[in-house]
Amino acid sequence: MAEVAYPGTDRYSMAELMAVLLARMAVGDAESAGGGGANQIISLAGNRLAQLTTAPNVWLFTGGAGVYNGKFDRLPIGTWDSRCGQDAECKIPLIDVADGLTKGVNDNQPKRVQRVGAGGLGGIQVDKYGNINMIGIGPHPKLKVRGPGTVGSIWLGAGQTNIFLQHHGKRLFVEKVDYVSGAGWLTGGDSRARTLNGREGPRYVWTPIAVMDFTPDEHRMRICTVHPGYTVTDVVANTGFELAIPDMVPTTTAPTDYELHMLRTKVDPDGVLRTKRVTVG
Amino acid sequence: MASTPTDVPPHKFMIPLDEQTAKTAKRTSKLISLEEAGKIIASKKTISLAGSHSADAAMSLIRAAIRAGAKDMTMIPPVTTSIAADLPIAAKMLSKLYLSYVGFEVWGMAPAFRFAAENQTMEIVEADEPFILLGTQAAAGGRPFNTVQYLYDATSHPKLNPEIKTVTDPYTGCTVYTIPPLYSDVFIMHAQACDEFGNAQCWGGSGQERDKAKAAKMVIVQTDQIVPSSEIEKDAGKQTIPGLWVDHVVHVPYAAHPTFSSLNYAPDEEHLKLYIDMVKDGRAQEYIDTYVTGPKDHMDYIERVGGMARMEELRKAVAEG
Repeated sequence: MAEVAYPGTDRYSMAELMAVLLARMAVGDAESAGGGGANQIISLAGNRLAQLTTAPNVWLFTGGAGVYNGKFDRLPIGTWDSRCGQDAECKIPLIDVADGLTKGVNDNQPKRVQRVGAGGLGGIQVDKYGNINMIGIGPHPKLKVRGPGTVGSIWLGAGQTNIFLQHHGKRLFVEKVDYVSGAGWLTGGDSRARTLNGREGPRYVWTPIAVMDFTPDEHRMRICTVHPGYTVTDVVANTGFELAIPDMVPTTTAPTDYELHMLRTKVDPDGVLRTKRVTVG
Repeated sequence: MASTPTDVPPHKFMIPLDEQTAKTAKRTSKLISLEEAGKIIASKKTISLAGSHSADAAMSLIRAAIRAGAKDMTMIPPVTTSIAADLPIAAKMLSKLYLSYVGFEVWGMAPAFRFAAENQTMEIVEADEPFILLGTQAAAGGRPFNTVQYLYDATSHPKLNPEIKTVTDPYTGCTVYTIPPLYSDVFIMHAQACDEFGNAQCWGGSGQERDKAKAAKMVIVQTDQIVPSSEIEKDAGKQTIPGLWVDHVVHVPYAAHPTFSSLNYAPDEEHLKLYIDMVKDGRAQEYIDTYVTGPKDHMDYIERVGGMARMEELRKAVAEG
């Protein structure tokens, strides 16, 4: 398998496929959506595509610019890009994000302001329970690999979210993360519910070659679908822990003409995603 | 390659957008009628308000709630208010009030509030400005409490208000006062302009709107005017709260009357004085019959308080400074 994953077919790129998947699923029923980390371009495209099609009510938040519902028609290079502010509806201070996400789940602590919807976060390690590490690898403080810092990955503990990764490989998918910066299902079972007062955990993990979710009780990562051009064997060979594998693993539905038309004319007319590199191995 | 199983429903991300998208993908409007809003408010227990003094009060929503039979409610008012708290008290809508300041300043004491306090017909929590602002801030951020150092050592509040407690500051070892989070079931606010999706502009404002909205389970906005998205999109920084936080929008011209709508129309001093005089004279019920429950709708209310001619005067008073 190549270091760089070239487009799965000659009709669309893997980055375009990932944006389309995100649009189909991630923000559909969420009240608000935001993306983060280094994966902003694809998640921004996916969220905006969703807003233009299936999810007109979604509130798309771009944290760097601090605005809701920027109606960009050229893909911003990050959530701080001024294009995010194009025809935006409301500018908020970042404290609103912290205020919304530190709220509890019981009735008298209303969840408002900013729900972790779609978008998601990456990391330098992700383990079989969906825990994320952006701190580093090796003994602290003399880390072998120093991560960039954890920013808002703690918000993964606030409620349901999806994990979105631009790479699929054994160094990324490890049996157990060295440090937890964003909580997945912790040690599986009911450990997350006990620790985080019953809050929902991560739902899907999106990578350049597959979509995964978590088994219902043990909350172990499980293959859902494999993208066109790849096989279950490819996914297993590039994952550093044992994945749950159902009897039937369908091929991910490829982007349709409509989806590519909308993406390429309304969201990304410059074709940034067509040449965006996502990696495997 | 494995094939698609037929016995399980496909994951949503397997279904192309073409099949998921409705024929008319349209954003849902949050507009409801004033009477609907009144019924919703009346079904709640704790209500919070913003605005300040005799400015930017959600008066049309308050009148609608009274018409809908609101009672036994707890109010978290703005730190200073007049008729927005006094009229609900006159209408026996409140059983508990977090008190910071209820009065009409230059025009005098709040008559219904004073009467209820003297007859102890309503529980009054001896709160104050920091209690309401910091308690609301705690609730807005889902924090277990907020803290105040020193200041309450010097006032009677800790003795009179059992909700003020103490805790040891783990960094200094000092004892500090705690204020509980002040959550509300519904926050009602006045905006000068708002779109139908809830993006609301307060042209004046005391800064209490944002935290009150974040601390509430539901937010209802009354707005002097509904503006199109194009107006909202001109400047994202002009909106006070994002529509994401708003559940319902009610379009009511002159919604804040008789209070001041910042930069929009002046307070109706004559009407405020009329209210004070009538309640002082023991004619609270007559006021409510005439101006709250009597009018068949908001425009009828406007007629009874002087009609559009009077409203234009109030608007001119602001426009001409």
